Amino acid sequence: MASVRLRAVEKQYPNGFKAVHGIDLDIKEGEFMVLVGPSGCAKSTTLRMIAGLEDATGGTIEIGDKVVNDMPAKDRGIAMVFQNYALYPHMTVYENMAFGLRMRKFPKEEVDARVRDAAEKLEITELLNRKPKEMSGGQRQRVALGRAMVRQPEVFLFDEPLSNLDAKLRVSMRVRISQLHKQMGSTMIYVTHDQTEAMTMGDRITVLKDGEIMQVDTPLNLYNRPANKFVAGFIGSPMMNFLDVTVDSRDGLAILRTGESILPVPERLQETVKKYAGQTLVLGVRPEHIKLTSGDGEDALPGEILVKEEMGNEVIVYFDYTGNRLTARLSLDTEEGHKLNDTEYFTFDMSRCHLFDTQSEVNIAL
Amino acid sequence: MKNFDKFTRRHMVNLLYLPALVMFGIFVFYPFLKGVRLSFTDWNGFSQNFNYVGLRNYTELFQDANVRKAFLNTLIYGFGSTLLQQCFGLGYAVLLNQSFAMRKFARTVIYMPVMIAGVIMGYMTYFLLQYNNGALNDLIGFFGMAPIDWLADGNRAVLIIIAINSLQFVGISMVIYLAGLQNIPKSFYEASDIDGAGKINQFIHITLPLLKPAIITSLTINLIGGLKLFDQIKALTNGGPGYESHSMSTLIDATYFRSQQAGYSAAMGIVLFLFILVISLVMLRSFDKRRFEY
Repeated sequence: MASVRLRAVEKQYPNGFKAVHGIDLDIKEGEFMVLVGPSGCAKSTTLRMIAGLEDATGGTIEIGDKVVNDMPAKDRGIAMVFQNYALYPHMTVYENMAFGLRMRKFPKEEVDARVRDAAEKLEITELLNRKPKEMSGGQRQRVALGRAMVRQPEVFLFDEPLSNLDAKLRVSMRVRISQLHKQMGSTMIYVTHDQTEAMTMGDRITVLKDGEIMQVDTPLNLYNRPANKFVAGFIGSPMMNFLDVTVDSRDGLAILRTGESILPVPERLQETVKKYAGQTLVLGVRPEHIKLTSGDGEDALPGEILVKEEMGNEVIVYFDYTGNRLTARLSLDTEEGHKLNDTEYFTFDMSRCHLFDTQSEVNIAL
Repeated sequence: MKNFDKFTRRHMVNLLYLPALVMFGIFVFYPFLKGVRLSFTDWNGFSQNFNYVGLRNYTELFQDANVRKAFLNTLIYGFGSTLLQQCFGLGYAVLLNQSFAMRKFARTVIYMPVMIAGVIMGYMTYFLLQYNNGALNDLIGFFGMAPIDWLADGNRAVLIIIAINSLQFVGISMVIYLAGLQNIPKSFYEASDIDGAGKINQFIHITLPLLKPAIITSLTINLIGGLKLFDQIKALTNGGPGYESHSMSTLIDATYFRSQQAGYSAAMGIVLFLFILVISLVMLRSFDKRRFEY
């Protein structure tokens, strides 16, 4: 296993479009790093630059203690699992897995031993003589994993490997890859647009947007302490609610006004928020931090229930508050009996809220 | 009227291909049947009278040295030009699959001879190679060499015909291979890059196996074209010197019109047809087995 270090890495295409804007990233030895972000955020481009499938037009990429910018892909000590599996269709599973080792002139016995060992770990021994077209998507993905494993690379790279699988298979493959990481202890870099995959698999997550890193942190920190509005909105499902509020003061304390309601500012944020007196901030509240209330408090927000999604263990309620569509995640017992188009009152758990600067979108509540 | 509409709707598909079927019947199937009938006669091609001679034409042609020579030449033309067209077609395709300036121009130049009629190509070559005033002899004369009668030697004539046929139709192979190459997903090359395969290994282990459908298509088209080769030979050597460069097609033509043995010539035609049919079926069967799912 090896560490991976990106320093001011850039990617500019010949037509002038800059996909990656000088990113810095340190991935530790044995770490499972997830690169996540919406389509077009350059997560795959970044991975492909690490793999050597695309040239970085600026900055340096180090794997271990070597700068690999000018090193061909085969010499970087990496193995990659592709989104579309990229299994050679004319070769059997065995041949697919053995191909990389044969190209590197490994002795026959070692090739055989490594292939059979990986096949056993991935439970694909009985598929070794099959061709890719004779297998399901899940089986193909396991073969693609096996092909990477037999190489015993310093760094594993995964480019959205589960996005072609159905939901159930995705969950089982997620678990399998996480187990493999624990068993092998290799450095893994995993690209996905699926935040559930990112949250459940990564030791740390890098959130990218438009070729720039928005935040690098552990899954829990990203969820609880998002650095900016983008990360706050991207991580979490249903996504965080955002509401414009005006900073005011009463009895020497900062308060937030929205419509007819007044929201208290937690004590830890008083000094920070006071600096924004008279200005507008964006309040961020996770759906699970919204509760139903009777409606007699000044912090109660009236909302018309638009949609209810009954999930079995909880209810997701979408409601309209002064033209803002907000989402609440409520427990079954508190929600019971409320009907669509009813106007109910909601309160926010202000101790868990986030406040974002309207210009910079930075989280000022950290 | 209502019934007619129902009939038309139900059989619309059949009606759509009916004109082609009728044309095929008139211009291919009927003449073919006539040819089969003729092959059992001693008709000379113009007489009002002829006799049925049973299998005599067929037994004779298997003992005819000229037919054996023409059949051998046909195989040489077929397989020889097919081999050349595959090698050069694939080479051009691999080259033109890279991006470089003038790529489209190069592709057009290589494909251009396909658009020329075979007989024109034959005459152009003839004017290049003729003994007196031929461009090639003028050129070697410029270097002080004596003129050569390029087409006077049978074996050399056969080789020249193969080369000209290959040059003319290599564009078809190139286009087929180019389409095949562009159909191979880039991710296979990326995966093999990471697997440590160099360019040569990628060509051997990835490109060639995945080009099998294109190879079979190109082989079939080129081989059938080569086995039926007629117009370039007709224009360039007319089967000469003697019978040395005849293919089955030109021999059939010469036997019918020059030797006035229409029945015998029809029997040769049937044998050539059956030979090409068997080869085509074998090729097409293997084509069905070579498809890949990506």
